[in-house]
Amino acid sequence: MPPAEQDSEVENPTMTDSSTSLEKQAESLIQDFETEATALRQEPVPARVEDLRIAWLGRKGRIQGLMDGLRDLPREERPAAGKTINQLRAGVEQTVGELQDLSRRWQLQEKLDAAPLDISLPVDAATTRGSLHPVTLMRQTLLDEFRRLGFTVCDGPEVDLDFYNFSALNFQDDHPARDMQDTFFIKDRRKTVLRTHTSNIQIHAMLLNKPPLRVVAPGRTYRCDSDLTHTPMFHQIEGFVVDRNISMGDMKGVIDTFLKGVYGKDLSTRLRPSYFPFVEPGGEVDLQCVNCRGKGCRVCSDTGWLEIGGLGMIHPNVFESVGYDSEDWTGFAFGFGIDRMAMLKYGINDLRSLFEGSRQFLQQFPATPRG
Amino acid sequence: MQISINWLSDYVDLEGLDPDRISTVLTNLGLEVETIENLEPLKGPVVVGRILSTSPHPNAEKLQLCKVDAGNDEVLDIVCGAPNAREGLTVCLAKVGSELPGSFKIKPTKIRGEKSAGMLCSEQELGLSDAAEGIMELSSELKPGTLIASAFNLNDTVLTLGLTPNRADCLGYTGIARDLAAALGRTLKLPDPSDVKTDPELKSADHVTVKIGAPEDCGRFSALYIDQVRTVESPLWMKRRLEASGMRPINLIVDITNYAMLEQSQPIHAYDERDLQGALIEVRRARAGETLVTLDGETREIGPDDLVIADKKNAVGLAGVMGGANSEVKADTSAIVVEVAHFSASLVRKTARRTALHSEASHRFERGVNIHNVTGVSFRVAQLLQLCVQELQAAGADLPTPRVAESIVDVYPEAPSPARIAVRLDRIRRITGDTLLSQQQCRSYLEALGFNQLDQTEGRMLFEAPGWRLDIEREVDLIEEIARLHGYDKIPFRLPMMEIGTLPEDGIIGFTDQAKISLAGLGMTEIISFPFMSNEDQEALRLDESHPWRQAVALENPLAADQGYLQTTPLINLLKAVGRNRRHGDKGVRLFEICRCFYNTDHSPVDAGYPEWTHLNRYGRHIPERATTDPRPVERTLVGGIIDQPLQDRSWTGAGQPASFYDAKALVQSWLGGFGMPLPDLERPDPQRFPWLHPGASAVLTVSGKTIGWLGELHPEVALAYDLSFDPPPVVFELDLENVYDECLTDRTFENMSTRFPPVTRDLAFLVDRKICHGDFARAIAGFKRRKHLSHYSLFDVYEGQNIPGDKKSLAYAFSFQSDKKTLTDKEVEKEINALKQHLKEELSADLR
Repeated sequence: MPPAEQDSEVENPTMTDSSTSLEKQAESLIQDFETEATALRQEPVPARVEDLRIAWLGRKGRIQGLMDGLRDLPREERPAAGKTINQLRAGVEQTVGELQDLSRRWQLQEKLDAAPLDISLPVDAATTRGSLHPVTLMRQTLLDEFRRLGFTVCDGPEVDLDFYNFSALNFQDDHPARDMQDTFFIKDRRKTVLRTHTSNIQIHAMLLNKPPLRVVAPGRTYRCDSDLTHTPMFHQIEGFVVDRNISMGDMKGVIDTFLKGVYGKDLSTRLRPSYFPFVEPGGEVDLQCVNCRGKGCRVCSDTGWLEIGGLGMIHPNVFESVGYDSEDWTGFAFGFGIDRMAMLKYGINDLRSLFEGSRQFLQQFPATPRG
Repeated sequence: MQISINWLSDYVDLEGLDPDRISTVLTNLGLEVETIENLEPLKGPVVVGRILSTSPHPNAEKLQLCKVDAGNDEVLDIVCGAPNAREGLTVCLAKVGSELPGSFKIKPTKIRGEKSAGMLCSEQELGLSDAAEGIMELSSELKPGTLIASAFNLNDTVLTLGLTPNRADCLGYTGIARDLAAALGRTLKLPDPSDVKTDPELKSADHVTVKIGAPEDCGRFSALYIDQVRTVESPLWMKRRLEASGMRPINLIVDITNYAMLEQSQPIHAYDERDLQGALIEVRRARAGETLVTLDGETREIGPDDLVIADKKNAVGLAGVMGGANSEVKADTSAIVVEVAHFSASLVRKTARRTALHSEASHRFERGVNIHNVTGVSFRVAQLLQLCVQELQAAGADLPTPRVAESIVDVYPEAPSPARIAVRLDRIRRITGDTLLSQQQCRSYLEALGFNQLDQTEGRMLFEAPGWRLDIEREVDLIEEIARLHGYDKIPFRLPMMEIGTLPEDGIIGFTDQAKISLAGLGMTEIISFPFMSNEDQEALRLDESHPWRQAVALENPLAADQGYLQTTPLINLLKAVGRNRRHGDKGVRLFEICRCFYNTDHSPVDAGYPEWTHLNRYGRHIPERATTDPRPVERTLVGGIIDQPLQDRSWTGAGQPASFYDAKALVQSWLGGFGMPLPDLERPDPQRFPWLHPGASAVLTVSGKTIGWLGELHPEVALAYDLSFDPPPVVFELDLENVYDECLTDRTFENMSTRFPPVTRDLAFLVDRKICHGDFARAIAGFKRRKHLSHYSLFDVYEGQNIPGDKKSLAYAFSFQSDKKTLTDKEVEKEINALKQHLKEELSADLR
């Protein structure tokens, strides 16, 4: 960084009264300059290069001193002497320029030559780094996959009326099907429950919109159950498609495409019959084990398959409860456990660890590249 | 339901199918096999033997030396201490190398000097019963050398089925066998009780009268009288099968009712005739205040919501749930009345739930039993009784042959007509997506399951559903049956052809993800917790009785006492999570959670500020329209965050640094700034409303007068209540995500800023009254009318203390002036600064220091 130009402290050289002496003077000056410049070339410290420049080219510099001496020369000698001085100035300017370049390079090199840091010294990234919960990461992966397939993401209340959670979904009053889902009831509120599944969104979304529909609804769900493999709150993703000619074949295709998108194209899916009141025919979907890729291992109890979720063709009673003509419209619905899917993806074996809020545990899970 | 493959093979030929294969077929039918367990109680050569001769043991009075034919021309010397060991007896012989239950290994031995090459076994030693007196006496028809396990069919495989509640018929072996036979294309072999020998002299009606007092609750009730019965032990095979199915053998009569129930999926109850006062059975609602001691010995208080079986005087059974202790079969019972009935599924369910009596009977009645099969089951009981007694008699037991009444009392007010359902081929194809299914194929699937085709035209069939399939109601139910038998795996994969264009999505869904990602980017770790809280948490947050959060949404049936309410703030779980991290030695964590909080709607104000919203918009979000009839609480999505102490731990780079109010403020400001939203107005919180915050180091965030959140240091007492350090306490914040989202949607204008001309900066320190704060300067500068080139300013020093008067403080600002047209001259800048100084003097009495 060159400091602002300042007046030099250097004194004017003594002048003789003849032009030859001026030329001699110039010659000796050149030698002086060369000596100083040569010394600086060895170690072009920027401040000293600047001092040199000021001493020679400054307003009170030595070149200027020579110029000032011109006044004392006879008029006829002045042009020749001026020419000599100008040549001298040009030489000095060039050398100073070179020295300035050199000094910048010297400065850079000095920076680079500084003693290397102890790169092993610790920095505490953990305290400043944030992270997303593995269930959130899984949820994002699932939503990306479904949005790609043209689904819209919907949401709805976690505390809902029995109508949305059960009766519109073809759960009859006092039917044992209700025992399939241990329900939390809200105190002093008639027929109000913590939703036991995200299927209540099926009813909300169908009532609020007209078919055709492609909807997924991830969210928190609640069941009155707590042991090694159950928590009172857990996450589900519900999805459904309604159109004029949706079949079980479409259901198989969509689920297969989606699961392959999440876990890899090499894994197969299979369907088997099961029962949920809001679908008929109903089924469960198994995916080849994510851990052993279908060969059989501890994770899949040596079966090669993992139970992933429930699905089926939307029951005509459900369509009728939301005012859709069940002759015109067909559709399928499915529900998967996001927590379990995350556990499979990340190899987490204790469900409860997801909900204990341990930073050390939670910071392990990397953000998934989206795309 | 636990099923024995041995037993199952009575009804369908399972030849050539191993348990794994059977399990796969069942699972693919929707009868999911959860576990497969091999039962092999006897290992090695435990065989039938015959005692050829006995002689006294030379050295022991109670022992005998037996020569035992072990089959295959092998005769072994066995020392035996059982008094019933005698010549000609067929016995169970455990040879050397075998192993009895309890890992009891048989080795060659000497007993009091005499060699013994094995052991003659009692039933107890074989694990077959508790009978330990004497060795087991076998039928003389058994051939020596035969393995006991195969002679008695002891080896078995037990499958545990996870049955869905729709398949009531599969709560019996015959139902499972029917599905299996249909899938395998094999014949279903059902028991035929028509050959039961009845006594023409004996009429049930002479011994019992049945009255149905509540016909809507009891569709059918039959009573069959059987006498000359004895409560002896059941034959071995029956006991084994009951045990394999998870039931404990009791005595012949009870065992047979259980056996027939497991076979037919129809609960059965046997009464001791002597206990039916007035020889009457009445089905009626219980009277208010009535009590009944059930078979399990418990006294039950029952009332008009419960259905009972009663005699002339008392209730003798809780209909469909459990019998009464006063009429149970006893050791000396000799005549029984067998009840087979049909009760209302929902009534049984209510009683079973109310009394918490989940019995085999209630489980089946709740799911529905076949009303058409009632008398068939009664006679099946009689048939099994005769069969077992005959067998026991053949084995030498001294038993009378039971007499079965020829006529049965069968009160059946109105037989329901079976469901008739039409199914269309095009519909089958449209639902399944399998366009190759033929009408003939579909018909044969349904007929194999017992559906009866009544009529058929091109593309349409009419079926009558069998009485045991109460789950079949509509066409689509038949389609499922077809798909199930056809096999879901045969249905081809397709992808739906759909219209382009999708439903619009509620922007807050994507925004929530953005919010999480940016918080993580600001160093926060996301947690997810259960949204419950307790009274103790309300106390810990220092909420007084009138605080709105005291009216939290309560659960009727919480799992634990500390989960009685739904949370009103994410703060509680964040505090608990910090506590857990600290206990694991992890200090200084920074956590956030985005979650729903719940507010009762009938207590206003609901909030810390969040309005009373309850209807749902087109996306299912609560919107601001109050519906007093809606019992659902208001749900808001909140963002909660916590910064534990210290902000920075001591390290080689420098000393530790505590987190303060300003760190929360900076974080919230950066986060909101990322969405283009300025920091909302900060106000000092009302300590009544925000008692969990440090009153001097916290702020409420408002936008246009609406509270949208708060931030600051936790109240030290709250920190203490959660076992956290309080000097300094953690720093916390909360924001209503929905409000933030709405604010972010506001249109913003952007300035076209020029940076071509350099700014001129001037530092000025002002001396003001101590009460004046930066916010006052900010407001005053915002109202500076002669502002022309002032582009921005920043506070770089706040000072109180030496060298300035005690009632004053100094605030030092760096002001930048910039023009987009030229480089400003000193003169221009001076002019504006003088105006500014004058303005601040007027507004704040600010003097240049």
